[in-house]
Amino acid sequence: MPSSTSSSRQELKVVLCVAAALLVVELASRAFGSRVSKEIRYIRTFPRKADSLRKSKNRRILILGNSLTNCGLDLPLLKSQLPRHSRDGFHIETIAMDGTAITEWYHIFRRFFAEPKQLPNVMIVNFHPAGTDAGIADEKLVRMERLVHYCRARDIPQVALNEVAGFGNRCKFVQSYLLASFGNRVRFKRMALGALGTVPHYARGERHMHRLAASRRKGGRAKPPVPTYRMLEKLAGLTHRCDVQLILVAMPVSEYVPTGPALTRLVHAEGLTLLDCQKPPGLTAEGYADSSHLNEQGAQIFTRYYAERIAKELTRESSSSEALEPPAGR
Amino acid sequence: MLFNSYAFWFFFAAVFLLYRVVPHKWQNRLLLVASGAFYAAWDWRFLSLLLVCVVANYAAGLAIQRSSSAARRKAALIGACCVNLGLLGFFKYYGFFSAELNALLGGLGLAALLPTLKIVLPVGISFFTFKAVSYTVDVYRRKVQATGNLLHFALYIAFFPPLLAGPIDRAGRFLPQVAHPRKYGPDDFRIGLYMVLYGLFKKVVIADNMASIVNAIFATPVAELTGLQVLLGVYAFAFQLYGDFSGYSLIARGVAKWLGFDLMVNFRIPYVARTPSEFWQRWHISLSTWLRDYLYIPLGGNRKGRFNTYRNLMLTMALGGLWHGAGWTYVCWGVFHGLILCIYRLFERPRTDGDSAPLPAWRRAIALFVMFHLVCLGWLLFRADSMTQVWQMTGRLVGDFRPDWFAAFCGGMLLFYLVPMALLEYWLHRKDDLLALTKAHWLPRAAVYVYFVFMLWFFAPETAHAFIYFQF
Repeated sequence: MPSSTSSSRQELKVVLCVAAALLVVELASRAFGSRVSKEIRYIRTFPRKADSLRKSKNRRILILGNSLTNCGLDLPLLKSQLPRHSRDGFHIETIAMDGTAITEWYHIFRRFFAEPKQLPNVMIVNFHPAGTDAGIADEKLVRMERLVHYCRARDIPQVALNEVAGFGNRCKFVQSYLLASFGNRVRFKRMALGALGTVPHYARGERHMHRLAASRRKGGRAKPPVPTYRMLEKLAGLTHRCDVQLILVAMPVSEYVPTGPALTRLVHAEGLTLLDCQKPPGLTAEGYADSSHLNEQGAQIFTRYYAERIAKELTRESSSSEALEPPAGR
Repeated sequence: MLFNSYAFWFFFAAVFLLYRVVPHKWQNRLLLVASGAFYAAWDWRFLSLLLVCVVANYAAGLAIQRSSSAARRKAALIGACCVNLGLLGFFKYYGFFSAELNALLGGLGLAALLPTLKIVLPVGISFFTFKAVSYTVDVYRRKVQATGNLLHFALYIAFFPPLLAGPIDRAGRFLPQVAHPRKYGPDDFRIGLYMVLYGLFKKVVIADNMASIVNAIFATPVAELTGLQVLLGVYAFAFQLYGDFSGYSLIARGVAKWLGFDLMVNFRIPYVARTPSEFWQRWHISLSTWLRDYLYIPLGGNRKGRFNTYRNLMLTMALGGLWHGAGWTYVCWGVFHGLILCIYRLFERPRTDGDSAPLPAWRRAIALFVMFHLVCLGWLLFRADSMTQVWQMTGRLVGDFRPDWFAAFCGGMLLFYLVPMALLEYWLHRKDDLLALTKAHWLPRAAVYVYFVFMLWFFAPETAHAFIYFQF
């Protein structure tokens, strides 16, 4: 028996070593996660933004968006343009993270604004008008590594059941919430392979492979899936309950995307405001950096147009739904 | 329920806990129920196929054993083989052969002979039918005693760890393990842990990360690829397939080890092979030995002259290719391996007493390099969607090796993921012991395990891929 006892002891040492290594990584993740990741640092500014909105005496506007907003909206220009079209004073806060869409926007609003009652008067959601992934249609894949930052322990079961599809993904979601190292694994991988230069052209290569995979998925499908708007409906319900005016803005993309019947029905049913800003007058192909993102010149043109349309909407007494046809001059 | 899914590990934990507290008789029953549940998780309708396979071969085994008439024994064997190969033929090959036959008839201006059916391929069918064939043939050859216990036989066919992608274990090895109470020692945990961890690493870290590169390169129109990109894509596929399949086999063996079973070794560091025959002694060993014992040797093996030996090699490998999938690229892959086996055999020098000294290192290295690239050329046939793609990609491989950013990216990814595994495998090869790490001092073992866990934790792709060999 002594040899088997020593063998068991040795194996126990091996297992303990692995556990200790994981513990060190976990502690390091908790201690340095926010220093390493720009994204986490940004998420940690949300309570401050909410607080600053709450303290403001002016009309409070919260803008939610993603890279389309980051590239397409010149915030200082917007702040200077809005008062030209309206007598009101405005306090604008923007939350725009690349790759975010409706699920995250809903949870950001719920967690940082609705629950602590730090509400804006108006919330503007700038979305990609084409179907899924960066817009207001329900997404197939939710970025769990970010979603966990918008959740408290009591939210986890509900969010896991409602927003995360599949048993495996739910387990990953819970694991990401409980363990910072697991929650940060995508950021760590990007840093280890990309930022540290371990793999040349890592970010570009990943983007290239994602694009190819997406086009393969599209090619394999007989017809594109019909978009659904369950999360948008939830967001509309929440803003109604909080007495916040919700404005949806279809952002400019190089190819015009007409509003689908399901979204039109929802907008009418919920009494939402949908502004179709896809084709601002004067914005040509030169204003685009790629098929969906504006460059600096495009952002200038778009921001002026955006300010005008938002101001018009805000000064309208009734916030009923606007006609969904694209504006004249297209 | 994939081995790389949370669902499987919850399932296994529940089975394992129960398994360790019940007596031996109930352990077998529990394993059979668990195996049924495991298979039903894929598609419960195909449980009936497993049932047909089990009952037919069990009955045939007993009939062969009990009969003294040679004709009856043969009839029972043929009956069982018809059931096994009939299931395999209908579900796996009907679609392919009916389409090819109808196309041929259409080309001759004749009407289609066979109706086109959309048949779902039952996962693991190639593996469990081959297990059943080996049992019935071994009973017929009197190498194995037919079991009178249906539960034991059902567990041999349906035991869940190797059910979907092997190893294709033999009844002679497995049935005694089912019949006798299992003994557990600390080595079982240690070896099982190594196999499961290393298997998961190979599947999740190596195969799934290589899959993204392979899919990107094979999805790009060939005209847009450089020779270097094609070469890196083929290298990536070589390691994707190896990681995927050997990973599955290792996890299956590890899980079985924890349950007290020893499954056969299926991979023995195949890319260090220097000849095609050595490659097949290292790659998918359970299939290559199956093909040798139940196809090549019955065809006459190498006993009936040179021409017949080459014919048997070609036939065995072509059928081995067809076993992998109903498609011409798989048949061509099999024929390609048959050809290189024949060519190497043709130029092989008969060994004399003076040949006992090992080859110098540089000659070994060249032989390994050449063999690895021949295998890679075979993988191109295996992975390509059509023969046109094979020709186009081979054409690219002949020239245009200009480096660009995407080739640099792919090269970087290959080096990052593959170098540590290659070093470990080289060390195992030098030690000539696949379990050498489990016998090493606990500290280096812990360091390697920390690396495995760290890679699984941080470098697993976001979307898990199914095991490639499930489709076979």
